Amino acid sequence: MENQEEDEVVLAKVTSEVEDNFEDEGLVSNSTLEKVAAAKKYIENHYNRRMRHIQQRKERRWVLEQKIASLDVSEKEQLELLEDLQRKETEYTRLMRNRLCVDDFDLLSIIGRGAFGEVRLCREKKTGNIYAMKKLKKSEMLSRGQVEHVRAERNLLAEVASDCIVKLYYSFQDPEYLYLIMEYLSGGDVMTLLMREETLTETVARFYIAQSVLAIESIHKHNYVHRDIKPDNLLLDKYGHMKLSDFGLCKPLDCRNISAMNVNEPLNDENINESIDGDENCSIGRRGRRWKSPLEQLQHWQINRRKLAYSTVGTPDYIAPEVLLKKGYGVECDWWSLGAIMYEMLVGYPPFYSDDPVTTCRKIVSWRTHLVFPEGARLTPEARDLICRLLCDSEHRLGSHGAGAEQIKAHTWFKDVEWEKLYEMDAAFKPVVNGELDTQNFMKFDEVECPKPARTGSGPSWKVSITPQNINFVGYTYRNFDAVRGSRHSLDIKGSVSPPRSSTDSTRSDSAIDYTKLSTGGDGSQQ
Amino acid sequence: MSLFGLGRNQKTFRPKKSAPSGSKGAQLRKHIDATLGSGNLREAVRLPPGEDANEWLAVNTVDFFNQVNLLYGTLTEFCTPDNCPTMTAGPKYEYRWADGVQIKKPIEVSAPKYVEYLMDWIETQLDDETLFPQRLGAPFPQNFKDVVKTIFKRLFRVYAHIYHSHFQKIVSLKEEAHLNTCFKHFILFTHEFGLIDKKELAPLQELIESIISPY
Repeated sequence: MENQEEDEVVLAKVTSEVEDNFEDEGLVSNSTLEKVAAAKKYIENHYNRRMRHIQQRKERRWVLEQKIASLDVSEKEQLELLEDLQRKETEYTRLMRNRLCVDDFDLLSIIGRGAFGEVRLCREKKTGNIYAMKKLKKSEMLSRGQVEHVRAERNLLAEVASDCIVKLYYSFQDPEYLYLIMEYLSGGDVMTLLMREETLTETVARFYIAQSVLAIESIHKHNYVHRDIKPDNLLLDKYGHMKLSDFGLCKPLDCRNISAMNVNEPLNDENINESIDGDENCSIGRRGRRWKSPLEQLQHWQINRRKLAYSTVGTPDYIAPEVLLKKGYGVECDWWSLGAIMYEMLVGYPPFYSDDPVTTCRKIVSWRTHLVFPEGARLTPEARDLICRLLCDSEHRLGSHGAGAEQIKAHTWFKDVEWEKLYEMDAAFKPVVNGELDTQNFMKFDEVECPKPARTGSGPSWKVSITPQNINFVGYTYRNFDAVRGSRHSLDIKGSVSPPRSSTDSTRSDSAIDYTKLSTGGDGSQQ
Repeated sequence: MSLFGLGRNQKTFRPKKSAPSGSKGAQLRKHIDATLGSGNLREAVRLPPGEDANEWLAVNTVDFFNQVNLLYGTLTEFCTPDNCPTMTAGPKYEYRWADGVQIKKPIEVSAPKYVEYLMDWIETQLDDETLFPQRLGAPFPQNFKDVVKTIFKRLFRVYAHIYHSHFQKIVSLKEEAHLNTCFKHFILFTHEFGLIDKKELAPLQELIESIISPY
């Protein structure tokens, strides 16, 4: 709709310019309008990025100078630290114009697969650094209307520097795919954790829900709505700390099912009542549930979840009703998802679980009827209360109407949470990780296709070309300053050092991590 | 080789006679000032403290190349051999193409052909590891600044052609703020590092003075 309005404005402008005595030769083609839109977007993003780079560079230097002033090191060591930063900045400047392509990486195990592509462990050939490579098929994204989501994800990851969000190091493209080179978090994800543990204690659940609150708060501050937060998007590093990832792309809902449901059977009250009546006819258990007992439901979910993990179709279990109904939605839809995940952590299966997605959607839309806690579930009243305040209509949901994360943090279930120290303290759960190439905490995926030659035709081009295939992906390339710094040794040091941090979403605080490493490097005794 | 090419370049630039008309200039004026609110471009061009000068020239060259390529790409429907049979910048200036390698004598070509030759040539320069090294630690050549100057001189010609021949189309496509921002950045950068001789800038001298004079 917005695009149509823009087109109208453009056409009107063309008409008015003719009246402005400029000799115009008539209307312009759609092809030109597309190129213009792509060029404008590229240039605007370029200057935004440019100014941000300048600011970040100044900050890095300022932070280092402050650090040096507070350290008790010799003048020689001070100079060495400054020169080291300078060398990194110059390397980063060169990196900014490197042409990246998939041939710069050795491809290793597959750790995730979705409709648009896959996620693989990979090793950068030049540095030996281990990353996760997310590879997205352009044609699939175009056909499923996901272009803006892809751009939004890349922009968010490039923009947000936060402990709560998985780090993006590079992005680039070739004619067939987009590539995101991201931090590899070897601890697995909350989904695999729940598959092993079935339920979590409230202590463990509280830790991860609290970290999720910080992560969601972080992206909301950048005006981003995730829409599809679920356990497989909550990744764990090797220390067990959680980072938010996969912004709605790896396992999209099968839109055809949802669309068919909307078109043929609108989710109005009448249809919902009919289906409920139908359920009752088949029902054995109380309250119209098809399951004989919570245990049976738990067991069924455990089996079905394993299938879902290998499926390229996502689950609607955690999606807010206003998103499913395609009404307007705001940031509060992410808090609903958090409530559904919390329910699953404590009860063992999602709150609106069914063995087919359409029924799950119906249950979500009529959550008032279907949100129940099984009798055997041992939840504290505070936990139950928090879940009910998250799984409710958007008007009354905690975090809505601009109240944001603070309203959720204030809930009594989080009474003892030290929010500022969540990423410094030991995690509530410690995954088993053997070496940096370990993928035991992820599902095992088989190779499907024979690896094709990565390049088609000539190598990567310098030009930011606008071709019919590329027009939607102009300006995708990105490189992170931290890509310059990465080394196996420094990653270990980073893990062991816990610098004081004023906030979880501060570039300055993140920079402090770098320079703690630098100062550590300056003290030979610590190595 | 490049010295030979540089020598030949003098003949690609030929002043023509007759003065520009005044009427269009007044109308262009009101659109010429539009820019994106992109922060302080004068700060953006300065060499960051401690940065390697050649590295800074290199990364900016790639950026300006991409910007010019994208902006010109939006005009290919209008910048055709029929509409622009020669690469002109207003009535007084015409550019002919020679790269000193494959085409040693300057030849008269249409504007789209000139831009195509130019973009391909620049890409060849950027691809050349001996000129724009990509490997960490690999040095720049001694004459690197001259390489960059030639690239900038030629990129300027695309801006000159766009402003003189296609600016009204840029306005009707609502791109003038983007074009002006990129051009302003380009000019401030060339001024900061002395990359284009003043006489080469003559086709857009008035516009350039309005950009530089507050400096």
